[in-house]
This record gives sequence, C-alpha cells and structure tokens, in this order.
Amino acid sequence: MKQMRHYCSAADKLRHDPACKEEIMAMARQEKIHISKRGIITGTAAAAVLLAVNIGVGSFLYSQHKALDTASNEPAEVSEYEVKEAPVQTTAAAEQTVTETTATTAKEKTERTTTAKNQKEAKTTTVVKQDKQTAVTTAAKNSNQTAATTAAPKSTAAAPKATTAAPKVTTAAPKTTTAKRTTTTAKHTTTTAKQTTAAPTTTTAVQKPPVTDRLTYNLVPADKTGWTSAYENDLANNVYRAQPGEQLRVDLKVKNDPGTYFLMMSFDFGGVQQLRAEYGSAYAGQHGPSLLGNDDLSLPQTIDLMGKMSDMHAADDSVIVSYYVKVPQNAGRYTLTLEGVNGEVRSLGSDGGEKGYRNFTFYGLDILVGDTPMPGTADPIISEPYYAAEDTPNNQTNEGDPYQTNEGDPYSGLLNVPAYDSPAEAGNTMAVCVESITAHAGDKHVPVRVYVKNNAGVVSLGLRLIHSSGISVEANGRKPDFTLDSAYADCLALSSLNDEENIWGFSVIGDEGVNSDGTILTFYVDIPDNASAGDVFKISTHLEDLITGRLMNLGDICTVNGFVRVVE
Amino acid sequence: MNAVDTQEMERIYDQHHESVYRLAFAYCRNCADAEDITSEVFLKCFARKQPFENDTHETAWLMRVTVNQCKDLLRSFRYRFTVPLDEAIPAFDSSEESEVWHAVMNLPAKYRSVIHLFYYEGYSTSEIAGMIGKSETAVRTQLHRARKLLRQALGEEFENEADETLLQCRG
Repeated sequence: MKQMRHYCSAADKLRHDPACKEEIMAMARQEKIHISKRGIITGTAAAAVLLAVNIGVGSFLYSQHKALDTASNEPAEVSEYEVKEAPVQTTAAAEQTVTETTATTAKEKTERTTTAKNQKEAKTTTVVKQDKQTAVTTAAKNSNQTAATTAAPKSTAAAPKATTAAPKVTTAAPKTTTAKRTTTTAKHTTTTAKQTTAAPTTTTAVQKPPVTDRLTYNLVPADKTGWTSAYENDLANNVYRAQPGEQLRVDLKVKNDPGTYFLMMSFDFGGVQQLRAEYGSAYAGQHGPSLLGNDDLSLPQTIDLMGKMSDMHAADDSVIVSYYVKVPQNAGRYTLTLEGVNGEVRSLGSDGGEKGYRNFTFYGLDILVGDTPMPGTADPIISEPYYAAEDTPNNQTNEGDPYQTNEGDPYSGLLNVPAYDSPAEAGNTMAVCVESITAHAGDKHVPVRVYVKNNAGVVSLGLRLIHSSGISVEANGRKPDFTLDSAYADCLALSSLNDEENIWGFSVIGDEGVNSDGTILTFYVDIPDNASAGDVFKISTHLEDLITGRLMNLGDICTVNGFVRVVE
Repeated sequence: MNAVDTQEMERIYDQHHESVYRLAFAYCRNCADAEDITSEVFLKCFARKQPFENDTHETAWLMRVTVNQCKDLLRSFRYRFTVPLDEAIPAFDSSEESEVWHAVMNLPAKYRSVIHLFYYEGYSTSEIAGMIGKSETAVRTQLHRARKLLRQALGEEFENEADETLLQCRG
C-alpha cells in the first residue's frame, strides 16, 4: 500500500549539506562588516560582477530558449516570451559585461552567488517598472530585493542602463495605456501594479491587442441593451450605464474555449454589492464537485471549477457564472474585474497532468452611475504566462514582516451565516448542526454529534466549535477525542484541531462530495461532577468555510448551535 | 543591519535549516536551488530587525519566506527556461517510498509545497494558509486536488492514511 508516510520517510533522508552552515554564517557576518566598515565601494564592485555574470547566463539561456522555440508546439505562448524577455536581457548584458567585469575578485563571485539570482530578478523588474515611469522608486525597491545588502548601490546604478534598453523593445503605446488605466480607477491601478510586480513579463503582453480566436472572458450585463462592448471600442472593460441602486445580473461569458480542465477566478466587485450567484450553462455537468470557494466573509466571489479528469468545453458566449448585484446610489464608476494577479485557467495534458495556464483575455465591466464620463481606451487584462498567476504578488518578501500572527479571536475569520438554536429554524437551508443532548452530572465520554441536514454535497468544511468552559473536552494529547462518521471516513480527512480556549477547529477535505444527510463526526465531553440539574452548557457552531457540490450563497447555509442540558 | 547575534543566528539555523531546505527542495526539486534558497532565507532572517514574537512566529516566518523565495525562483527567467537537475534523490528503502516520492515530486509546485507542509511538517491547513498567503479554503482545495492527482498517479494502491498514522509519520 502506498501511503503518504512513504513520502515522509523519503523526505527524512534529504539532508542539507552541513558545509552550507559555515558559508551562510560567513556571509551573514561579512554583511555586517561590509556595511559598517567597507561601505559602498566594495558592494558596488561585487554587484557589478554579479550583474555581469548573471546577464551573461541570462543571455545564454535566452539563446537556448530561442532554439527550443523552434520545436515548440505552442507558438502563441512562446512568442510572448520572446518579445518580453529577450531584448532587454541581452542588450543590457552587453553593456554591463564590458564595463564592469574587471572590478571583482573570484572570491566575491563565489560568495555572492545567491545575490546574482536576485540581481537578475531586480534588473528585470526594473526594466518593466521603468516602463511605468517610476525608475527611481523601483531601483530603490530593487535594492532591497537583493539578499546581500551590499549589492544595493549597484542595483540602483544599474537601473538607468536597463532603462535605456527598455525603449528598444517597448513602444510608447503601453506607457499611455498604463497611464490611462492608472488614472481611471483605483481598483484597476492595483490590478495593474500587481501584474507587473508578480511577473515583469506582463507589461509587454498587455501591448498585444486581443485576437478574435483568443480565449476570452467577458463580464457583461445580462438582459440589457445599450451597453458598450469593450472589444469593439478598445476599452479595458465593457461599460454599462446604470440607474442608482439598480439591481442587475452580470454574466461571465466565455468565448473560444479550447478545452479547460481547471478554472479559478476571483472577482473584485469594486464597491458593487453582491446579492447572490449561480453557475450558468457553460460547464454544467462537466465539472467535479469542487467548485465553490467561499473566500473571505463575503458571498462567493471565487469560481473554482475542475473537470472530471477531462477538459471541459463551453460553447461561445455561454455563461459560466451569473452574479446578481446591486449598483450603489452614488454617482461614479464601479469596476467589476479580476481580483489579484489573475485567474488560473489550465487544460489537461495528454499525459494526464495539468498543462500550463492558458493565455486569455479578460474584459471586466464598468458600471457608470450618474453623469460619470465614459472611460478612455485601454487594454483589457491579458493573462500571464505559466507560474505568474500562481501566487499573490510577491510583496511579502520585500516589505515588512511577511508573517503576521493571528490574535486568537475565536470569532475571527468566520463565515457570516445565520446561526439558529434548533434544527427546525433552519428549514430547508443546508445546516451544519451540533446535537443538543441531556446528560447527568459526572457523566464521562458523553457523545455529541455534529451533523449536516439538507446537504448540498460537502467537499470541504472548516468548522469551529466553541463550547462552554463548564464542560471539558476529552483530549488525547493534542487531539480531542472524536470519530469521523463512516460516510465521511473514506473521503474526508481531519486536518486541524485546536483544543485551547474552549475552541475546537475541525477541518475536513473530501475527494468526492458527500451528499447524504447525517453525522459528520462525533466528539465527547465530560460533565462536571458538581453540575446541577438544569445547567446548560452551550456549544456554538461556526463555519470557517465550506466547499460544496454546487455554488452556494451564504444565505443558503446556516449553522445550528447545540447544548448539553444536565438532568436529574 | 544585522539584528541577530552570532549565537542566536546559529540557534535559528540549527533549529530550522533542515525544514527550510526540505521545503525548498519540495518546491524546486533540486538541491542546488534548495541550498541557494536556504541561504537566502537565513540571510533575510539574520538581517531582520524585529525580534520574533515566539517560536511559532519564528518558524512560520521562516516557512513563509521560504515559500516566497521559492515562488521568486519559479517565476524567474532562469527557472522558466531551464530544467531542474534530477539530483539528490534520496536512497529509498522500498519501492513504495520511491513511487510515492516521485509522484509527489511530479505534482505542480503549489501542490508539492502544501503536501509537504501538511504531511511532512505536520502543519494544519490554517497554519499553511498563513504561511503561503492563501485562505484555508484554498489550502484545503489544493490538498484535495493534490491527493486526487496522487491517486491518479499511484492508482488504487494509494491510500490516504488515517490521522493516527500521519501523526506517527510526523514524529
């Protein structure tokens, strides 16, 4: 039987080279000396060499990549890489290598190997940001990006050289485009900035006009006439002029779908109130059970579809998801668009693995209220190449503390769903309930069930139980005593527990959705010996998140609290 | 610049370098990059000005910075156009070990890291969410999908262990 413990035992055998410790310590110590005593001069020299070496490698890799391109079966994606990366790297390489190689020693080369990679990253970012006319700020930021602080002065110095290379490959148009987008809405500015930060290559990609056979997503007002098509008018977003407070349906439509295995997009509603959402016909019946992301504390703003081990196909202009929204009363421009870096769209490879992201064009929706003027021409969002869309922007590494501890508020991070005190109150709504029971003073190992009714198909469930301090939870070491019901045991795995502060956190993940009503798990409590008849110990139920077999709005879900009542 | 004294640096390094290295390896799949990332993570850590609040904070910070460094690498020009060397493969004790290891290594990067943090390091999904900057839902979804892909790769013989087994496995 192959199990994950086999992975653990294999990983145990991986050993970090002990010699690395001395190197790292030496680098750390040298850094201190370097900054305090030797200053910028050495740092500049070291950075110069590293930059030269780095650029040389980059140039070589690019030439290799170009050779590989010839044999590629995906010319569209490859061609973007060509335009984006190469000229900047190679041109700068020539300049830097000639002028700066002499200023270093072999020792510095060795010691600063790690810096070289960062330097490369910094330089690429610099070029792109230069395109946004923020060279000085960028260079300063980039200097922070290098692991060795000593490289900072050189990084700053390198920026103007890289800048001179930039115009060779970028036209005036993208600058104008970026500026327009920046000035139109704050939301859009954020999106653009994130794209640039996460993947420097994006800026060039945005220059390309969308082609008619490109995979395209469109947010459009449903059943409305008189809206302006972004594609036909060279706009970033479709435009609809709405009445203050108007309620409307916004459809996400797809066009030229070449086959999609995995699709995940989160939307920024730009101040427009979501009322509810529902999936459309585009992928109906083709996706698996894991399709809802109830991220944050809002209505589902993330769509998350995955094919049943095969690509899904959608007809042109079919609707993936419909959002029902309410337009604000105030005049202004409200933009519905992709949130964060981008969406993820992938297809299934011939080997059964997932292929890279599909490139796509995304048109959001600008809702204009009052006499807000029409936005100017701008480019839509063009998806990023592989890996760029994987993560949130990389701001954590460079700015401030990348990790913030939670304050431990037991009520933080919960879904804002109705909570009732009896199952009857839940009606036909899907409910995650804690059983209410009776027990006697001094009873031990009293079972309390957590169950679901009107089950829409639990795939993933994050549950927090907060119980009265009067009862104690049986615990076996770190793990409270509980049992998963057999209906879930085969396909759900417990993942997190926290038995402090009278809170239990349960988290279950399914491989397939469980659709039947019934017990999810049973936990056990001890009743105090000195409890009196009539004492009631409450156990409240809270949802952290829920993924079900169909799109759920928070109004479709509730929890039911339970209690233990002490009887004679 | 350096806010951490040598003794403290050594303590931090000794305590965490294997975890950082293994997580980096899970992301990059080769020891050279994993070592580079490990170096970068500790240099960042040693240059950090604020003290850690506690051990948990320290560990989580290191894990998160490791993940971020790995993401940097995966996005980098060099990484995109080069194939990681297939090296530093552990000496496996059994065919199951080998097969499961390779199946995990063949997962997409984001699944590998989540699998590693969850199964090997023993973090909860909420802790992982904090480290990789995603919601807990997203982490669970990734775990779910990773397991699905593992089952696809390893066939019916792949079994998702009971919790007790995992706890033992985590030591």
